[in-house]
Amino acid sequence: MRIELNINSRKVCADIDPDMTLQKFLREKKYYSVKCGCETSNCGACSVLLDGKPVLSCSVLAVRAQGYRIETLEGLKEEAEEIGAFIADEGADQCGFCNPGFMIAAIALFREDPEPSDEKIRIYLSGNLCRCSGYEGQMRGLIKYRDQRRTA
Amino acid sequence: MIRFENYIRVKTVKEAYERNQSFQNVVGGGMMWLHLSEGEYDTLIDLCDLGLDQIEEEETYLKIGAMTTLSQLENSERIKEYFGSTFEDCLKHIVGVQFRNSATIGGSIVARLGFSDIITLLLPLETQLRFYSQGQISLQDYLSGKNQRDILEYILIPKKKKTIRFESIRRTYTDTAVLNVCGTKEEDGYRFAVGARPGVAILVKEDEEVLFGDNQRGSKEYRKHVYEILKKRIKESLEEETCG
Ligand SMILES: Cc1cc2nc3c(=O)[nH]c(=O)nc-3n(C[C@H](O)[C@H](O)[C@H](O)COP(=O)(O)OP(=O)(O)OC[C@H]3O[C@@H](n4cnc5c(N)ncnc54)[C@H](O)[C@@H]3O)c2cc1C
Ligand code: FES
Ligand code: FES
Repeated sequence: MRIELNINSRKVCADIDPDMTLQKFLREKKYYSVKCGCETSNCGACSVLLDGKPVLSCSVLAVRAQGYRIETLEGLKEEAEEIGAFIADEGADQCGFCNPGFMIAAIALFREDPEPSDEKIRIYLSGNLCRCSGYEGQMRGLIKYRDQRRTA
Repeated sequence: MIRFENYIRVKTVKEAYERNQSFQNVVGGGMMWLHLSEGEYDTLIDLCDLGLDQIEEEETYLKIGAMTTLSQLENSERIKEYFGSTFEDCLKHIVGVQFRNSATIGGSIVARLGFSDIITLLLPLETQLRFYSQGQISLQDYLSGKNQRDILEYILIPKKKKTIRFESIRRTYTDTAVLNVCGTKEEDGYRFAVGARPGVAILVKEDEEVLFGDNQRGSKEYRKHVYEILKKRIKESLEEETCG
């Protein structure tokens, strides 16, 4: 079937199988920030924004994403660089595979609540799994990012 | 992963019901559970255009559309007004924000998952379900009945300002529960909904016996032990609230 999606403000049309996931579609279109982790809604590595809300693209049908604004990390470079620098400074990135999913969740969080409590950061990012780190680096980075915004 | 040949966004609930009478078709809610199924279908019936994603207030109950997401429930001021932070306390454990932005209350009920926190949460609230064909039935009756290939339209929660408490034990913060319990105090004593037994939740009085079983998350004996502790925590918390 023919679909038309709005990805990072670009119109993308394609013929797809109706049961194709948004994750597969985005990767076929070379949006490689969207990772294939578990593909069972458990790890957060495939996160993208749909109308500003983070969702798991491995569990959303491409056809259902029609009519929404889809944002991947490729379209969020400025925010990603700003937040990413704080996470990198804390040594949180090791293999880096989970990073795009974390960044999508963090961007959504700070858009929704510019001054989240430590507890809110923890809850908001609890759907993003990392196999390498103990999450402390990501937490420190995001807390520092929040605090410098407060003083800026 | 689920396979299907055709996809349709139905325009009426009647159309969804009629199409769903064929065993070759399947209804999609949030798709979070369904997409993991190994089923092969002719058509996926998508309910997303039916406007069933609102939390409304009627005279005696809150009327929640079946396609309302878990995030909407978690963040709803209307729900907080009646039930405090209990919905939030319960839902925050379910996978992650991204997941809860898609999973729906309707799919959570119809799937009748044994480990469901949502069913455990809704049982003590005397929740009623409104289906397209069967009409209105209680959640409690629904759980013990057969699946009738009906379409769940609304979840109705009586607007009694009930004090409820939800507690669960999980191996990690967002894993499915080893046991979940939701309690409330009625005029004639406490009521507890007990889920992840590992069977689907049941509603019991304080001293009523609950049947537990084993699975890879915990043994029957462990669950029995944990149940007494969660019950005690809930009772203490409910007493505190009543005494101010
Ligand atoms: C990895 C994972 C972890 C989970 N962890 C938890 C947890 O810790 N706690 C918890 O409570 N839950 C958990 N769940 C379950 C989850 O919260 C939802 O209950 C589940 O995904 C079903 O909701 P859905 O909207 O995705 O429904 P779907 O997957 O779309 O549908 C589920 C079933 O309901 C049917 N259906 C959907 N909507 C309707 C309707 N309106 N009328 C008739 N039939 C309908 C579908 O045909 C399907 O059979 C988990 C699920 C997954 C995949
Ligand atoms: S790949 Fe989607 S949640 Fe893991
Ligand atoms: S840095 Fe390797 S998975 Fe997170």
